[in-house]
Amino acid sequence: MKQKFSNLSFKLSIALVIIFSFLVLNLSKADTRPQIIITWKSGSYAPASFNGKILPSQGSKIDAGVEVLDGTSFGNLSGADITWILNGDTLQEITGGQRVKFIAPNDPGGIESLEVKISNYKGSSFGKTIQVPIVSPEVVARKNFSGNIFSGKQISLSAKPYFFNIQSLDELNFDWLVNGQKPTQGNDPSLLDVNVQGSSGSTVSVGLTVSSQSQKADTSLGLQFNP
Amino acid sequence: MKKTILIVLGVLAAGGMLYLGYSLKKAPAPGNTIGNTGNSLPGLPSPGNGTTTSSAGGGQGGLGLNPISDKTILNYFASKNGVVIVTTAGEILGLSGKNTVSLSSSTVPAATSASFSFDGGKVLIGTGEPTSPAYRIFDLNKKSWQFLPYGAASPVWSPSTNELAYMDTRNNKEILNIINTDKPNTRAKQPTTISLVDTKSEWPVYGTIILEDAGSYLINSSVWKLGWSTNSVSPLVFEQQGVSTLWERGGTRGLVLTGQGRGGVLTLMDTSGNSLKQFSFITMPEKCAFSGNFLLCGVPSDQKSMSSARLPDAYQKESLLTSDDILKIDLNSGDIKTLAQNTGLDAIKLAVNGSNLYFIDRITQKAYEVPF
Repeated sequence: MKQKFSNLSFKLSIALVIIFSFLVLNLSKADTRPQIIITWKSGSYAPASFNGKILPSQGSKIDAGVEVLDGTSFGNLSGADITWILNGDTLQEITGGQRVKFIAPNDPGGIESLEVKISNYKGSSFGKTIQVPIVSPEVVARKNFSGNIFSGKQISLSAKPYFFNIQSLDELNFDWLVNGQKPTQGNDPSLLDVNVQGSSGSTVSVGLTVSSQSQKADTSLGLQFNP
Repeated sequence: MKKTILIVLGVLAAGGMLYLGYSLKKAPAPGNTIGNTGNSLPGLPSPGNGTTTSSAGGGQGGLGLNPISDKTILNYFASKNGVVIVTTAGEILGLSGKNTVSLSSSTVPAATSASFSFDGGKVLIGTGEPTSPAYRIFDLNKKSWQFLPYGAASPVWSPSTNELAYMDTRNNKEILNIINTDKPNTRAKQPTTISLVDTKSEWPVYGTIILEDAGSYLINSSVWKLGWSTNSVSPLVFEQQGVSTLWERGGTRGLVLTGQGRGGVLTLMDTSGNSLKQFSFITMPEKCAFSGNFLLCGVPSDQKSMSSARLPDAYQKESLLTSDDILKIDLNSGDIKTLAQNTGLDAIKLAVNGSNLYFIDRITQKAYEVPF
C-alpha cells in the first residue's frame, strides 16, 4: 500500500512538473512574439513651423508602414505575407508589402480602423489594428501676444491653416472680419494688422474663414484692449 | 500519505517559484512606465512652492529681459565669441556686443528652419513648403554652401562631429543616411533601412539615433532608440497618448511629455527607457534645455491653461501661446530657482553659454538672454 502511494506521488510530481513546464514555455513563447509597429503619415498641409502630427482630413493621402520588433532588431519581412485591411476591406495583400497607400475616407470626425495581418514570418501569423483619426481642417488666428488681453496699439494676426488637402498656401482663400467689417489688407492675405484706437476695456472681435476648393474652416477671437 | 503531500507541495512550490521568476524577469523595471504614478519619484516642487527662490522678476522687458537683436530669428548659436543668428529673412549674422556683422553675402529666401552643428561651425537651413522641404548647409568658416539631396527629411546634426543624419525614401523604404559634411564628395553611410514613416530624428550620442513617431492627443505614438552601429532597436516610449520629447545632446537623459486628452505629465527619462523623475508642473519638452545637472525651462505661469489644453497639439498649432517663468531646476536636489517670472515671453530653443541662458520668444521670434 505504501509502495503504491510512493509510485502515485512520483507520477503526480512528474505530471505537475510537465504541466508547469508547459505553462511557462507557452507563456514565454507568447510574450516573445514579435511586436508589430504600424506608423503612418498624412499628405495634408501644415505650416512649416508645426512640428506635431499632421492629421488626415477627408480625401488626404495616407501612407502607412509596418515593422516587427523581433527581440532587439527589426525582423526581415521580405518573405512574409502581409495583408492590409481598412475598416474590414482588404486594401492590399502582398508578400513583403510593408507599405500601403490609401485615401482617407469621407468621414470627418471619424476613426478609421487600419489592420495588418502578417503570416509566414518564422512560421507564425499575427496581426494588429490601429485607429487613424480623420479630422476636419482647422485654422488658428495666431496673435502677437499671449492670452486675449492686449496693450499695444497694433494687433498682428497670421492665419495658420492645418490639415487642408493642398500643396501650397496659394490654394487657400482667407476672409477676415474685424468688428464685422472687412479690413484693408496688405499683399499677403494670410496676415492682418489691426490698428487699435479704442479706450481701455474696448473689445475687438476678429473672424477668419479659410477655404480651398473643397474644404473650409473658420475661427473667431474676442480681444480686449487694456493699455 | 504525509510524504506524498510534502512531495506535491514541494513540486508546487518549485513550479510557483519558476513561474514567479519568469514573471519578474518579464515585468517592466520599476519606473519604466511613463505616467505610472505608483512608480514615479516624488515630483519636483511646483513653481512658487517650497524651495523656489526668485532672482529676477517683472513682465516683458523686465530685469535682464531685453532682446539681443531687433531681428526676428529662426535659431542662434551662442559661444564665447558672440552669437550667430539666422533670421526669418534668411540672413546669417554675427552679434558681438552692439555690433552686427553679416556672415554670408547671400540670404536664403523662404527660410523656415535653422539648426547649428555641435560647435556652431555650420548651419543647416530648411526652405520651402513643408510638403516638399529643401535643405542647405552654410560653412561659417569657409563661407561656402552645400545642398542636401532632394527628398532628404528630418535632418539632424551629430552631437560631436560635422556629420549629419537624414532620412530619405527609396523603393517604399525609409533609408537612414549619415553624411560627413566635411567631405561632401564621399558617399553617405546607410546603416539601416526601415518602414517606419513620419518619424522625427534626434541624435543624442554618437551611434544612437532616436526616432519619434510624432504625437497628438488623438493618437498613441512611440519613441525608439536605434543603435545604428549595432543595428539594435528598443522602445523608449511605447504607444502613449500625446507624446512629445526632448533628448539631451551628448547625454543620456530626455524629457517626455505624455498628453492625457487634456493636460499632460512631464517625465525625466534616461535613454534606456527608465523613468527617473516626474515633474509636478506641465511644460513642453521643447521649452527646456539640459545643462549639466540642471534643467532650464520656460514654464507657463498659467498652469491651469496648460492642464486643460489638448497637448501637445494646442501648443504646436500655436492656438496656445504662453507667458513663462524661466526656471533653473537642480535635477539632483529638486531645488528650483526662478530666473525670471511671468515674462510675457513664450520661451523655446533654450541654451546655456557661459553665465547666460539664451532663448527665443516664440511669439515675437526675438532672442533673449538671462543671467544664468
